[in-house]
Amino acid sequence: MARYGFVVDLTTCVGCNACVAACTTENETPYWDGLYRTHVEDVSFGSFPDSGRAIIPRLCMHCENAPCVRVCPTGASYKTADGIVLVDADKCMGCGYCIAACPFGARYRYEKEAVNKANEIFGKDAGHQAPHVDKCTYCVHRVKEGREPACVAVCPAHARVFGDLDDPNSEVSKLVESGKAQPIGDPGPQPKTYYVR
Amino acid sequence: MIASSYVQQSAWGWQIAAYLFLGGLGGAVGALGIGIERFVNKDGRIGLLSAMWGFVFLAVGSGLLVLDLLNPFNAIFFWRNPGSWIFWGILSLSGYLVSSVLYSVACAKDSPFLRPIADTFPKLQEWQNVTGIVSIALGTFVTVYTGFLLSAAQGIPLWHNAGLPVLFTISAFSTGCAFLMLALWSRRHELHNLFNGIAKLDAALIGAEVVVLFALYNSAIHSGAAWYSVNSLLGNWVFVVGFLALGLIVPLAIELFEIMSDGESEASRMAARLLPLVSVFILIGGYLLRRFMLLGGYYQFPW
Repeated sequence: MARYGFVVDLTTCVGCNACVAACTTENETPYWDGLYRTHVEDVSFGSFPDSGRAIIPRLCMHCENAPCVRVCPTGASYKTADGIVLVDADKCMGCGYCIAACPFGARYRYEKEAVNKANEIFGKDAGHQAPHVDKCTYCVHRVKEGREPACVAVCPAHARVFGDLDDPNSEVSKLVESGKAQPIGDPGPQPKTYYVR
Repeated sequence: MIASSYVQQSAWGWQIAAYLFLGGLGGAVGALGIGIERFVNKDGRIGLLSAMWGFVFLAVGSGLLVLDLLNPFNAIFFWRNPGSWIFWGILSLSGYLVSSVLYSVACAKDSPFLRPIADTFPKLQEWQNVTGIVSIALGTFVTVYTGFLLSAAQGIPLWHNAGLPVLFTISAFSTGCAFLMLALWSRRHELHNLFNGIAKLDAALIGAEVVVLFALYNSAIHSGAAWYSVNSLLGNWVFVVGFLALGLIVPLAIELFEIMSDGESEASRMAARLLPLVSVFILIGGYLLRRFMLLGGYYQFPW
């Protein structure tokens, strides 16, 4: 069984937002409300002369010890055997507890109005048919078909790497094992999305 | 860390603040009032009033919670994760709604208007002790749960600490005392000792609330998002005036003055007359505390 993880290489990311566009199209996220499964943060920090600018793509960390899964009362938030944290929209009551619990801001409400709008834009076969809490799935539907997540596939700078952390030959595993890629933020939930800085 | 930003939570708004307030208030009113009826003053009217007001507060609070859900029909799956505080909240809250009705029917025998209802279910009078104790336990649990609900949210340091459930529990019982003082105001001379006892308990609870608030402040000093939250709260005049001053310090001062004075002087009588107003301040303060705890919930993101 695989244990999927992700590496974002901040040294090569150019901040083109192709990943955001690809994710939005692939997963029909409510971009009209400014809601996405992945973002590219353009942040300035410090004050002159000790200042800087960073472009930081972010997505769900698919934590080993996911706080969102722990607090979800209906079991709609769950972790698959291969370590991907998902939301079962048919069981989600949309209480928002997982959104409050997530230390990485990876979740948002897919409201009823957004579902209606998605049906208008994407047609009756739109992927979101009921209001629920939404998040990055590592494009699990593509992974099942042996394809990469949409954001990885379109990244022109190879700043996004996806793979099996337990496979010593995978690029993602090599980056993590070498220590080049490390988690950022709260280490408590044991995030599986790593960053090369 | 490359950078760091503080982002206000937007998952929960005023409906959840009202739910937390009404949940704490309803549970505390039920537990306190039924406790008084069972162990202090065998007055069925106090038990009935408390159990039913507790029922109303919890029912309205639950309604607000349901309105805030994206898909309320999926609430039927709430039992699937006993590790979630919402599981225990729904269970205890529903349990209280049932047990308080059963207990109230038994208490109705002390009310001239409602006695026929009690007579229709004579078995419930035999079980009054059990339904009363169960209601006290469940009411207390609901009150305590409202704090644990927030403190389990790992992403928000202002909530994710051991002090918040203590603060919410003390505050909820203080609002419960305030409501009982308001509800029993018309009988304050008849129930003189009981009324003074509730006022004393409330003053002690507010004193404890001040200590816990200071402990939370102290533990948040210069600790990232929690300190950012504290500063955002202290920079908001509604929080400072509405909750800290009018909801906490003024009621504590007036209650302490009323308790410690001889009861004969004009100032003492004035303080006693102010108790209903003080109770209203405490209730408003209880809501504001929860509203601002939600507004002051900030994440610290590593970007």
